[in-house]
Amino acid sequence: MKIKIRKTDSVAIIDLSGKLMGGPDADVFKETIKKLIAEGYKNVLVNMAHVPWVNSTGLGILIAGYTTLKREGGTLKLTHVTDRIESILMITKLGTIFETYSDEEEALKSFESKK
Amino acid sequence: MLEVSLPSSIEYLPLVDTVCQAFCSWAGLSSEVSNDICMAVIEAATNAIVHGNKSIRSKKMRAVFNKRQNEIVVKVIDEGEGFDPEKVPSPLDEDNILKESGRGIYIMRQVMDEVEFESIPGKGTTVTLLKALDTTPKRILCIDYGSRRLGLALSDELGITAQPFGKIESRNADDAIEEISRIVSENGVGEIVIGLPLTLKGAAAEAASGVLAFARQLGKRLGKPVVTWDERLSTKQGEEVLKRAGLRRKRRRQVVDSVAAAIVLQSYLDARSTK
Repeated sequence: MKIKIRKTDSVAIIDLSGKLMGGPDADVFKETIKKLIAEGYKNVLVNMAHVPWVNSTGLGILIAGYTTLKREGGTLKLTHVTDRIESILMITKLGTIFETYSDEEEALKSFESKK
Repeated sequence: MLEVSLPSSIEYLPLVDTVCQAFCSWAGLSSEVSNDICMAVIEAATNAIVHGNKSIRSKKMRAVFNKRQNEIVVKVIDEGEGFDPEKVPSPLDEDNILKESGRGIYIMRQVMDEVEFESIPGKGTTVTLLKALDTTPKRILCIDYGSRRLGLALSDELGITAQPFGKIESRNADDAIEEISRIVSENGVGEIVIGLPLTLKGAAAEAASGVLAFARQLGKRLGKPVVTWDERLSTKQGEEVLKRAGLRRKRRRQVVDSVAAAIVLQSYLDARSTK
């Protein structure tokens, strides 16, 4: 798993690539979220365009990020999930937890409207 | 049969997935079924590596893929201590929905038809994942979409020939979809093809957006694959065929929609068989 970060004024965008499947990835992702929070970013958009699939451990990584950000009063949303990821989100009912978008601009706007 | 044996490290999971995808493709499965199977296999392999073999690299995680006549069976085997699957709590409970782990077995049971665990103390756990394959032959229904009339054509069960199958005259999409749904269940249809009007240069014509919207709606309602297929000239071609057959203009107008649908369907079937 590789991580790249882009930032708008209020939202940090994490571009993930590779497989999200636990192990060392979990720590890297947690550290990234912590760092962003320290920089004042409580709202995070994870771009999944280059993540072909996740396993349940990978879902755990996203959940950890989500709960950490929620505690800070922010949230974590997803864009560009593949069909396979969408179906794992549906099966586990996590589709009700994670807002997903197919368009980055729309996703960024959704953070604004909440304020 | 295909068997892989790998060291217990999650870095090998992508390889397990690649092998699984390759196996499913060899077995001729649809991408939907392949995704289900690989999702379950990855969960079983994750458990075998992390929980069974405790990520001890010298312990082997084995996956054995089998295709039988009506089913796919995958066994995932570890060398761990074994466990009781009944003691794993439901990940959907409100208390558990935000837990970071505990979803693997649930996912396997959701996407496969049967999941069995066999734990032998000291010898490890074997997870057997079974997916039943739907092998009953299915017809393909083709729709030549028009705002007032939908021409229909139906394939035989082997998907070799296309025959005109009348038309639906309807003022709104919902009524048309209900009628199609009835035809689909009465005739054992497994797939729907809709003619997509492209311009001669291949760009999507304006009419195409209406067709695409209809196709999406239909797919949602029927829960079956709906594919669009280039219908350029099919209506004109249909008209030509009928003219040559000596049909008068009035009669031609009555049957041209379903003949056009049959021409689109035949071109789809031919393209599919040469693939």
